Amino acid sequence: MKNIAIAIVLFITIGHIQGQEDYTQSLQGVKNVVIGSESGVKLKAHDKNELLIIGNGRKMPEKARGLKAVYAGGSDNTGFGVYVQKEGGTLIVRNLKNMHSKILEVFLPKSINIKVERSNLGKLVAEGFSSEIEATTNVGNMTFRDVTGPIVAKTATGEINIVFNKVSQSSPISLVSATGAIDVSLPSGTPANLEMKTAMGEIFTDFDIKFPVPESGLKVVGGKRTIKTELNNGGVEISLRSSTGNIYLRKQ
Amino acid sequence: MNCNQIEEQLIDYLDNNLDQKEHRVIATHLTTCNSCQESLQELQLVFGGIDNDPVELPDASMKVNFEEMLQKEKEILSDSKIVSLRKNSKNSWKTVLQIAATVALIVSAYFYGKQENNESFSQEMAVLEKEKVQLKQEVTISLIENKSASKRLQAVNYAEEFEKPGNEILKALINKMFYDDHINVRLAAAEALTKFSDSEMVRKALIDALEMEQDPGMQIELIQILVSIQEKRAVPSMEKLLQNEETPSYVKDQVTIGLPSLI
Repeated sequence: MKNIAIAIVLFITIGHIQGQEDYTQSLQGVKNVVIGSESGVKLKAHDKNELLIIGNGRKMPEKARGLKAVYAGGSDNTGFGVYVQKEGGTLIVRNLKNMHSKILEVFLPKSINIKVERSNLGKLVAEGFSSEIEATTNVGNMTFRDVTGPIVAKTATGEINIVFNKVSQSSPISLVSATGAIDVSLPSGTPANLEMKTAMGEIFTDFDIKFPVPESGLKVVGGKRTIKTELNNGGVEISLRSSTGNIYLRKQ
Repeated sequence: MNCNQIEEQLIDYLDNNLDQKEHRVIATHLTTCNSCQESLQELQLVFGGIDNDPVELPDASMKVNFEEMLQKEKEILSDSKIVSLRKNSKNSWKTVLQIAATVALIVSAYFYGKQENNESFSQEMAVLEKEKVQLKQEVTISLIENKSASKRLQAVNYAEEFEKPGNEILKALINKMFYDDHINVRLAAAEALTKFSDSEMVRKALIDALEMEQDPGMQIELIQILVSIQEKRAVPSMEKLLQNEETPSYVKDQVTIGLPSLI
């Protein structure tokens, strides 16, 4: 009897400590999450319908007891250096800490649509989502694993690395990089209308690309190289564009 | 035990279904009780009657009758077989004729209908086709303002499929090329507009876009488009890009590759 009581007390304390360490917010009625961050962002899917921000490294220092953190980007309404606000069906998450701070680690439900707004230097990692992901970075690399799309992503100098476990046929996928490489792995049976375009980079793939018969008298246009082909009899539009970076398309 | 209980058990007593103790109790009771003895004798009489009742068997005459009846039935059946066979052969001819008539009717109706309706049918198709295009335009216009970038891309792809899009579609595409939230949608819109570069409005928009554009990826796309549609009015803004120190070198490369074919 005594043992059970001790165990219960222990569980409650552990739960309490964990509750204090991470920030959670219910996502009842929320369909889209918009994330803005100067530092890197890591997004992971979990089974609960809530937002969870890992608190490790984000808590207020001991000396700041009784004080409030103030940031140039807005008010800290969570105590974790993050501004969280629900607006209709959209949840806005804004990382208030600067670009040198620890990476922002966020857990979200698998099927929620995610938009990551221009983050500058920070990298972006997303894992396990079966929803739409929209992202823009400047320098930071993007790495998406175990995703289905649709994905619309753009980076100026970063690389885009994506491993699809399945490709959603609902709406187009578009990946654009100015100077970074684009590296995409698709399941070999994926039906798609593929368009790959690079101005000065090279394209590498182990998919069978059917080259259209060149028209006679085809006008040569400076540096413009587009490959359009159907994979597995055609399907959703997948567009990969890079200005100077290489494009790698892999079978999985 | 009283007499009533004994009487209830008498049947079991006769069938020897009781254990020794009960059997003995009833046997001793029977030696003393007259009424119970009488009941026992009645029961014995009834049981004896049942056991001795002879099993009734049908006599030979019935067997003969049955065989005769069977024979008659068989004859009737074989008679009807012949009748039905004749009927069938008559029917099969009829069926063949019926099928032939049906086929002839269908074939003639098809040719008649084809001849009769060819004109009005093609008119109807044209109206339907027009309605379809209109509907598609409306869908495209509404989809192009969708919250999701992927959906907006889809709308741009739809718009690109039009042979002769209305001004509304072109304006929506131009608007997307200039102002969309996501650069990928802007790129796709610019690319879609290339197909409609016959329109002066589109050509002007593309020239203006290069003049104003800040994003290097978008600049490259616009340079390529303007070169491919041989738009000489874009030359000044290209030269400006070359002179601008802030222009990334890979954008300048695009200009140097493209510019000679315009001049």
